[in-house]
Amino acid sequence: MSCVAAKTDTHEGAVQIELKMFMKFKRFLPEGSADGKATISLPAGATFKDLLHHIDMPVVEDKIIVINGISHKQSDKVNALSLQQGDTVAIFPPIAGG
Amino acid sequence: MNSWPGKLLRVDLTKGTWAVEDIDPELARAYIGGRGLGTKILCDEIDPQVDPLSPENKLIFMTGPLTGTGAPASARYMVITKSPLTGAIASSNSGGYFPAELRYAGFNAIIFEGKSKEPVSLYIKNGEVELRPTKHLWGKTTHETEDIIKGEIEDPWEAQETRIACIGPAGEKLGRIACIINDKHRAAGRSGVGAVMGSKKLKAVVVRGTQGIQAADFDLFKKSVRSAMQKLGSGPVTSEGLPAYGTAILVNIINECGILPTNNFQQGMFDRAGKISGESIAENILTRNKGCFACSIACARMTTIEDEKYKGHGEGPEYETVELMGADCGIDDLAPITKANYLCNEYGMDTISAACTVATAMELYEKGYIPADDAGMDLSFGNGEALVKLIEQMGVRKGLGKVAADGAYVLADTYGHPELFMGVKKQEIPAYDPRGVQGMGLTYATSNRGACHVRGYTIANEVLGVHEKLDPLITEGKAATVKVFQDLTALVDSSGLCLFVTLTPGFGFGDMQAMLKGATGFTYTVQEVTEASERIWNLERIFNLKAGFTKADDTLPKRLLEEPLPEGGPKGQVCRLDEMLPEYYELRGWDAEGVPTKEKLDKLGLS
Amino acid sequence: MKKILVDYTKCTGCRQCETACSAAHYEGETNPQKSRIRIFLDEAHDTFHPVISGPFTNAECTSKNVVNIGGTEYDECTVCRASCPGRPWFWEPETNIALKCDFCGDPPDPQCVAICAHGALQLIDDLGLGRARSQAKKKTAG
Repeated sequence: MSCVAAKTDTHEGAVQIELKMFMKFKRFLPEGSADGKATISLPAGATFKDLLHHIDMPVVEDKIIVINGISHKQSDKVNALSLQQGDTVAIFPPIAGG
Repeated sequence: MNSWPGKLLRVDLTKGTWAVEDIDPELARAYIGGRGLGTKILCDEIDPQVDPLSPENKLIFMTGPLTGTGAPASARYMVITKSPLTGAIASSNSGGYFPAELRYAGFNAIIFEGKSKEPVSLYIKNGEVELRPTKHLWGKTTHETEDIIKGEIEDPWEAQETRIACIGPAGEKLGRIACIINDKHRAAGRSGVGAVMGSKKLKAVVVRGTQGIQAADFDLFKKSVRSAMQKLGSGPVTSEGLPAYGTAILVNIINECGILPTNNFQQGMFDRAGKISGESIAENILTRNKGCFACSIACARMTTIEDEKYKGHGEGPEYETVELMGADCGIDDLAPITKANYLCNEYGMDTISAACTVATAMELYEKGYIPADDAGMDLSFGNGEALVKLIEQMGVRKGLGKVAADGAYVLADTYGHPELFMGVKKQEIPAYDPRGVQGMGLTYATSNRGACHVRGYTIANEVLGVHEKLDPLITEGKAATVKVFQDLTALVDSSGLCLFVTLTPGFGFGDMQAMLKGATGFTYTVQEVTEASERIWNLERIFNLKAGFTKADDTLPKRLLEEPLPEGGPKGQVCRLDEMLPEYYELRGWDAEGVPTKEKLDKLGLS
Repeated sequence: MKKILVDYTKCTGCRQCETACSAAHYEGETNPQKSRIRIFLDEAHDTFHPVISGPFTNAECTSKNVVNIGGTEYDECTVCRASCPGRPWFWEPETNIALKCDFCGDPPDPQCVAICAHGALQLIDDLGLGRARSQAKKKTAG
C-alpha cells in the first residue's frame, strides 16, 4: 500500500496521530499494523479528510468516527476538522445494539 | 378466525382453577397489546401498594398483535407485574420461540393470580389447559426443568416443538433479581419477575399449539412486512454488524467514547476492553449466531467455553452482560464471564443486575466494608473466579449470596454504603455511563421500571448516529429525544416486535402503524399509535405514583451526578440531570413534581 | 427450470420461512404447522436444518438410515422430506391432509426463499443432476 512510506515519515511540521480501525475497516490500516492500530504521520494542518485520503478510505463510506473520545458521524463538518499532534482517531462501521 | 385481540387465560393458583376470557377490543386498540395492554390490566386489577411477593400481586404474560405473525423480529412477549426489586411496575421482555407458540396454543395472554400451596406448572396444548403438580421440578435449574419436561413427553417430535418458560432456583428462593427463562437461553430479565413467579409456586409454563394467526388485512400486512424487512436487510446495523458480532459489537466504541462502566462505575474506560469485545467473542468462543422467531437479525450468540475450569455451552454473552461482568468487575477473561452468564441463565437471574451486584460487592470489599469472613473469597476487582463463585452463591442463596441474591441495592445497604449502589429506583444501571452521554442519564432517571437502557435507547443517536447524530455531551434538546425514544419503545414493546427493529435507519412510527393495521384490522393512524405509546408511558407513571414514588426517585446515584469522569473524551463530566428533568416534565405534560396534569390525562383518556 | 438450494450452515433457525409459506398458502394465516417448510433444530450440534416437504407416504420406513452431513451423523428422519405417519410434520392440522411444496409463484417465486435473509435458501437454475453445488460455489466466489 502506498501509505507505508508515510508511516515513517517524520519530516518537519508533521503531526503524528494514532489511528484505530475496527472490524471490516482494519483493511485500511498500513500493512504490518498490529492490534488494529497504527501511528500515522500527516503534514501539519491536515484535516480528517486528508487522513482518509492518506489511507485510501472512501470519504463517503458510512462510518462512526471517534476523535479523542468524542463520537461523530460521517459529515462535512468532521471532514474539515484539523488533526493535532497526538490525536487519537478511531473509525467504526455503522453499528448499534445493546 | 379472530386472532387479535383473541383470548386470555386467567389462572387462579390458589384454587387451582382457570377461565378463558375474551380480551376487550376497545382496550386492545387503545393499549396495542404486550407491555401496554398488560399494564392496563394490571392497573385495573391490583392495588399499586400491594406487596409484590404476596398472593394479591398478579403475574401477566402478554403477547402483542404482531407476536408470531412473521413480521420482522415478531418473537416477543412481555411479563408485567409489580416488581419486588423496585416496588414499581415491572415489564420484562423476552423472545425466542415460546411467545409465538403461546399464541399458536390459543392464547394471547395469561394472568396468574393467587398462590399455589405446592409447586405447579401450567400446560397448554391447543386451548386445552392443565395445572399439574410438579414438585419434582422444584429446585431444578431452568435447563434441567426444560429437559425433564420434554423428556416426559412421549412423542419426541412433539417434545421438540413444545416451548417452555420457567424459573430456576433463584426465582424459587424469591431472589429480587430473578428472571423468567424461556427456550433455555432467553430471559424476561429485569426487575425480579422470576421472584413473583416463585412466590406463586409456579415453576413452568409449557405450551404447544397448531392454531394459526390470521392477518386481518393480508395484502397490507404482507406489503408492510416486506417493506420493513427491506429496511432491516439494507440497514448496516441489522444486516451486518449484529449478525456477525452480536450486541457486544458495542464494547470497543463505548470504550473509545469513555463511557464503558469500569470497576463499578469508578472509571469509564477499560484498558483491556478489546479482550471482551464482540470481535473477541467471534474469534474465540462463538459457535454460531442464532435468530429468535421470525428475526432476520439473528444477534444471539451460541458459544462454547473449552477452558476446563469454566467448561460449558450455551447462549451469550450479550453486550450488557459481557460489559458489566467484564469491565465493570475489572475482568478481561471471556471464560469466567461466559460461564457466569450460563449460570445466570440456569439459576434464572438477570445478568445485568447480577453483574452489577458483583461489581458492587467488589467495591465494598476493596474499601473494607464487607468483612473478609462475610465475603469468604477474594472479591478484588478483576477476579474472574470470584465472579463465578458469587454468582453460584446468589443462585442458591448461600454465603454472601444470601444477601446478594436480592441485588446491589440490598447488598450495599446491608453493608452500610447505599451510595455505592449504582442504580435508579433500586434497579441496577446498565452498561453506559451517563456522565459521557447526557440523554442516557435522563433515560435512566425517568424509566418507569428503574434504571434501564431499553426504555429510551438514546445511545442510538447520541453515540451511534443511527437516525441522526447528536452531541452526547450537551443537554439541550435531550429531553425531547428521550421522550420520542421512550414512546417509540413503548409502542414496539406493546406490538410483539423486538426493539432492535428501531436500530434501522428510517424505521419508525409509520412502519409500526402499517403492520399493526394489517395484523389487527384496527384502522390505526400514525397519530393514534403515537398517542397510544404516550398513553402507555403515562399509565406506567400513574401506577408508580400510586405505589408511592415521587419526583425524588427520578434521580441518579451521587457518583454520576457529582464525581467527574477521570479520563477519556468526557473527562471532567458529570450527568447534568437537573438541566434536563424540568424540560422533560414539561414536554410530558406533567407538573413540576412530575405528576401528569389533568389536561394531559384527559387528552390520553386516562382520567 | 429452477431449484431451491438449501444451505443449512447459513440457517439461523428464525423460522420466518415457515411463517411466509403458511401465510401465502392460507390467505394470511401464519401457522408453522401448515408450512411446507420446517426448520429442524439439532441442539446437540447447534445447527438448524431447513426441510422442504416432499412426497406423501402412507407408511413409515422400516429401515432407518443414518445420514452424514458435513461430517455429522443424523437420524434420517430429521432431514427426510416426506409427509409420513411417523412424524407430525407436513400434516395439515385438523384435516390431516399431507402437505407438499408446490414451488409457489408463476414464474416460480417460492415465498420461503423470498423471505430468507441469510441465504440459507436460494433459487437457482436447474442445470441437471449434481450441478447445483458447483453453480452455488461459483456464485459465492463471484
